Amino acid sequence: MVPVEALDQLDAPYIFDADSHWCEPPDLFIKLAPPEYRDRVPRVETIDGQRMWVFDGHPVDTFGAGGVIGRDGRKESSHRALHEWDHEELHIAAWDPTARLEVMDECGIDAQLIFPGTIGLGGQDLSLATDPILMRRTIEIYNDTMAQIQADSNDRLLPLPLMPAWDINFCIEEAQRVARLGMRGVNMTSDPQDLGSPDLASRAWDPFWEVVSDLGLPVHFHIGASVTAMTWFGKYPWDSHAENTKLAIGGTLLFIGNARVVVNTILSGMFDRHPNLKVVSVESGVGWIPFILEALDYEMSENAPQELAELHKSPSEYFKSNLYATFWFENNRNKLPELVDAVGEDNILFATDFPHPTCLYPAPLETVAPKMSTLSSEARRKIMGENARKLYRL
Amino acid sequence: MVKLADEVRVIDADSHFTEAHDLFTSRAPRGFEDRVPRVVDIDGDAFWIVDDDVQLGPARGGGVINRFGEKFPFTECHGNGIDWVHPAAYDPRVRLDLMDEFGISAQVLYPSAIGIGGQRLANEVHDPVLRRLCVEIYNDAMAELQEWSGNRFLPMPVLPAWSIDECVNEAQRLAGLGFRGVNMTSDPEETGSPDFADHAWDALWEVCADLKLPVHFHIGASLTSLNFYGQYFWASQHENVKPAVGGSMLFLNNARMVINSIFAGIFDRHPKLQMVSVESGIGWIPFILETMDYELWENAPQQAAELARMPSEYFKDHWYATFWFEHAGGDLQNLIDRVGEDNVLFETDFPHPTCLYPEPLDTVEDKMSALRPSTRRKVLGDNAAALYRV
Repeated sequence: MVPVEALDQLDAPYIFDADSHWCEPPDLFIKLAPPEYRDRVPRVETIDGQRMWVFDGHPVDTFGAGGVIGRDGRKESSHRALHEWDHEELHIAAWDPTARLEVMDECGIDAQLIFPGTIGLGGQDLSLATDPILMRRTIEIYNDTMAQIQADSNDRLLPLPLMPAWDINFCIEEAQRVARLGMRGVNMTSDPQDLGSPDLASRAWDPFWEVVSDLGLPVHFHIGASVTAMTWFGKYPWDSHAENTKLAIGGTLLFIGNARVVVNTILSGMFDRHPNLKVVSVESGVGWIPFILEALDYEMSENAPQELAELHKSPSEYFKSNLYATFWFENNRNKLPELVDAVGEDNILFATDFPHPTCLYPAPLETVAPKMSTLSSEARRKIMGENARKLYRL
Repeated sequence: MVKLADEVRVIDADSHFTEAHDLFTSRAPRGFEDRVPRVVDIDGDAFWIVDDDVQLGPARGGGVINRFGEKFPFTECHGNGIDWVHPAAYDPRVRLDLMDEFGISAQVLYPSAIGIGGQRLANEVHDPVLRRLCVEIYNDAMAELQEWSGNRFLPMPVLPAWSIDECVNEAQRLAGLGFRGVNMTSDPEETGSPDFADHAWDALWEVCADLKLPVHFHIGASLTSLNFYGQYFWASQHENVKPAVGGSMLFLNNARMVINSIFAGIFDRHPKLQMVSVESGIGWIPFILETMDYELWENAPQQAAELARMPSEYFKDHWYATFWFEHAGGDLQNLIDRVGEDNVLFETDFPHPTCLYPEPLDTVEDKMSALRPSTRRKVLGDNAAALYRV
């Protein structure tokens, strides 16, 4: 249980974790699929000594444990856990909803967003087969299962549904469907053009933005949630580094890599056309945001004065009205209030990233309580849960 | 209000000089006149070519200021040639006059046509003798320019990144020519060398540390980083918006150099080595320093333990970064304190997109005046004067 001192320091009535993950078990889809799809949905096979997700006969991604918290609750070195562990060595809460709720109780977390893991952080692997009907059914199977988990948990577990990003109309239909199932947001890839759709700056996506903003479904862009983003990840570290060091470099740069989503969404004008649309930058941290907003205003005034004039407000101003970002490890060198002011206390969501590398585990609340206690009571409560309570209608 | 140039010798730590069309041909040894980079007309457009018609790229003005002193958005003018651009972009006398007018005492110069890190020579010229010659001619021309200007121009010479031995030899030669630093591509692995985390580069770091040649990494100074640039913007963005997206992201991308160099242990092995992150801005640095510590200890505790210090601690002793447009939410002093007042260099980026023009010092006067006088003097000139020994 969370020590009283930490709870006193946090003094927050509701604790929401805006980023955690499943580590998909190898038989996830086989178990869920109706008989006619059972042979074709993603399954794990060993190919040339490497365990792979195989979708409709084609390998689409590597399969691994995908988490760093072991069965006994110990945190393992990332490289070892990600490359040497079997799925079975993971903490059961990495995939089992009941066990996950127990960990949340133990950690003092009321509710939690859950993103996928080895099928792609944006679920992008489910878009890499060739039969669109099969891909769509597979995404529906995933989303239905997640909706059931949410309902069974009484809205404590909020696993975000995936979008069939290769087709805008399918995305619209699926968003409407998952809204009916009670889901509170969608998980979107940042690069649907990798999958054959227009990129997200295209006006062709307007009907989708309209539907998700009408339905109150914030659109989530998790770092690394596209084929392109993961290609960059691989190029960020110089090759001669140790494998563990490469992860640390790739991780650091992937955080600021999500600036790409922030700047592209703002400059596309989508928030002028859809003022109620909400976008969440997930697992990116928040410390780079003031810089990128300032750079964006300056770059637009210098490079694109006419397009700047067409936006309803300065690019930097859209962050407060339309965007959120999650945070966990930062304390801004003991000046957290300053950073929270610069980003906006209404736009930051606390996250643990359980059970991924760099997650706050064990004892997430004890870990953050001292730094959170330097904030105003209002800012602290908003970041720890109230912002999420509003955003996800809880 | 302080008149900035009255109080300190202002040094501009990042500007660009467009290569004269006869830069290489006028200095080519016999037999190489028709092989070194030269400008030819191809279907009505001026192109830099090298060797047997290998294209280095269009021969453009290399700036967004026209000869009447008017500034344009990048996409509206980047196709224009040298006859369009302000002569200060390529004529050293006009450039000095402009610096006098602006109150700038000295200016660090980066190339244009050969790639901002000289990478086009390394990537496009395949004959080893010729490409070495190209590097030497460029550097010789820059040494003449520096000498002619009485060290008011501080051009950063390029290195033959494809060979560590040649880099070492060239760095020694450059120090003898009076240069105050070197301009390095961020991705030597593109040209067949090991990447910079390989200890084989220790030989170069040693020479640069000994000869007091800080190593400069300008944003976009490699094929890899320019490939990133091309993918930062979603393709449906307006043409004018694309460079705004790419530019903003390119600033952040130089974090790649800071993180990789620190994690590689280079500074433990070369305690006097200095590096400069050029045209990156500074606002992302506090975030990156904090993140480096957390990420390395979480993901690579053994490698973290092998470093002599916390990753974030290396910045103050080994890295500089240049800045121009930032106000940091109205509290620039706070940002500079957090990056380190000894580690920040003022720049104009003349005559490139987003440069401070016209009146660069007037433009920054308000925000600079709000700094502590000691900080102001350091970032406007004293840090650069010490680093470049001028």
